[in-house]
Amino acid sequence: MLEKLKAFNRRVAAAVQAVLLPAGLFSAYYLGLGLTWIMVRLLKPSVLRGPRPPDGTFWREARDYEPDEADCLRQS
Amino acid sequence: MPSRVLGLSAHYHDAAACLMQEGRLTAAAHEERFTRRKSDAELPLRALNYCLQEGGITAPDLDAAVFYEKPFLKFARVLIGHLRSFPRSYPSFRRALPRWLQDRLSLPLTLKSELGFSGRTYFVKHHLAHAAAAFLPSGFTEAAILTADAVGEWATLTRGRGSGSRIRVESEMCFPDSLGLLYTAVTTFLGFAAQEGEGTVMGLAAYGKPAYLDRFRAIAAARPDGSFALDQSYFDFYGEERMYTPRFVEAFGRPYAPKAEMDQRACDIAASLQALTEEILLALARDLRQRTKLDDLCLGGGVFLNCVANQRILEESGFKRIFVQPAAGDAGGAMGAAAFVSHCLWGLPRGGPLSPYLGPAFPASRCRRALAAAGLTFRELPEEKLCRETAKMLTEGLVVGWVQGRMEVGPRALGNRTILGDPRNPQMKRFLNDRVKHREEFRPFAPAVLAEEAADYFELDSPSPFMLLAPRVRPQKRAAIPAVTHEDGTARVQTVAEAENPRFYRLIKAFRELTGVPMVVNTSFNRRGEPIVCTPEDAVAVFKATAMDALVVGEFVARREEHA
Ligand SMILES: [Fe+2]
Repeated sequence: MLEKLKAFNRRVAAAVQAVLLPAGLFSAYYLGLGLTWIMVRLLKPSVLRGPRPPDGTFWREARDYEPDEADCLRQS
Repeated sequence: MPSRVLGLSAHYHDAAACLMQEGRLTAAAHEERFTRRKSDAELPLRALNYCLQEGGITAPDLDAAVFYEKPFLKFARVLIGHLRSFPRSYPSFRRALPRWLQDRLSLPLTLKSELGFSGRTYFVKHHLAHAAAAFLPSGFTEAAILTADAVGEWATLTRGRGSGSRIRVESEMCFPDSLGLLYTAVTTFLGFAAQEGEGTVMGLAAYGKPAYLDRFRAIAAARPDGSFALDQSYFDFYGEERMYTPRFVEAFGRPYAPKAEMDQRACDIAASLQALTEEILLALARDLRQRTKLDDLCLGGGVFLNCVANQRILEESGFKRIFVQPAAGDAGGAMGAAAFVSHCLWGLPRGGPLSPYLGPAFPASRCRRALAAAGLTFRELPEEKLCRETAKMLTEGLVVGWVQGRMEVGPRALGNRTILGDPRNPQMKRFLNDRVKHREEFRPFAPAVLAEEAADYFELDSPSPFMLLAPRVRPQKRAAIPAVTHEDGTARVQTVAEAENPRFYRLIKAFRELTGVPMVVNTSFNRRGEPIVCTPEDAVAVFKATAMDALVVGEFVARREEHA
């Protein structure tokens, strides 16, 4: 009986997840990213284009490539 | 003083782990070889456990683990990339976000729960890991460094220099201007899988003319220093299904379906892409040579698995020597990150030459058991006889599976998980394709040649131990080795020195004694779409599922006719 109840609960959880996850992703994309996109277009369109490299070359100066231990402990 | 570090690469493609102890690489392996899922990108728990076992330690004994990129920076790029492609990027966003939120931003926690490891976890920038993987094991005390791949966090290309245990990355190019992504986009346009079919496209290029080169040049506007910007109206890297846009289709015609017949247009597109890639890489390398005035160059990142381009860099860039490590792609990123921690952070001295034989080996008892369990009849032979008998089988036109010692790291089989054939046999290419490999007929097979005799057959004056150069076959020798001479007269050579792989060397030597030809055909021991075999059981399974004629596992020889 308990096993049946557990299996039923698992199915309910999976069904809820199957509905909530797409809904969550849909809103994260169209509301979250969409609103950001509008704001960025209005306020700082350069973010959408990416930084402009110096004239005559597409190389850019590389930064933060000689990390010390504290830098290496960071995920960013 | 800390000395044990576990290197990890994962979450893009080709996950791998390695272990460095006292500044020496003691184990390295791709996760796919254990899970049997090609290019497995999951956190490499099985490879990692193998590395610990090989090193004779457990996770708590580690001083640190290191990951081959900075996850937060990469996540930021993924979000901004989707933002730039809004609103077309929803399907890609829907696939990517759950994966990121699941475990990609919490590696230290995952290592703790999966391994019981709670020590320091370091994160090294992706292209720094590539640069370290290229320079630190190169044996050069000072060298220029060039890295190129699809994309790391933001960088797609970097240049710099290494000296002693110091690496300086001086400049970078960033997403979406990427040579690797361009190559992959065209690979998918031609109907091949991303991250897998690039080598196939390189092989296909030999059959075409660069008729589309000007169109590619217009798309990738390159400067004299080799830097370039991709015209983004041709690409959609976060698009719904394709990496290219309708504008690209307008310029190059209808895209090819998977497994479509490759017509002349496909060959010409591949040739043009390859020509552009070589043109850009050569310009980058020449410019770097001018700037650094150094003689040695280290190349890192998946783009440098392109052995045809590497050959041109060696011959035409002005550098005297180049080094490309066997796992130049992302799997090698794990090795680079670990080497960076060992040598650059901890100051441990750099070691001797890099061996690619860093994977698991299996004892004779396990080999015998695998063969017996499969019902194969086999004989055990001492090494000299084993090599002679194998060489003799090759002269009889047989295709032989060869599994010896420690598995190779990197995408190429280098004599320990290899299928062998006779390079003199003009039918060998067709035999191998029809009976064993089942791959496209235009893909070349590679020779493994005695190092000291390589120059007699190939226009090559430096070693190529990792099969990452493609020199021209000397015109007078082409007819002698048709099975390994590609359409354009080149060959993807592996030079074999006795000190690097004694048994493989002796096998080739035995073949030379019988035939006068100092090389064998060497192709990876796998079936199409599968990873290279790892265990004796994997080898037996491929042997049974294909029409291979014989299987040599360790000291044991099984012939098909004996068990048919
Ligand atoms: Fe990479």
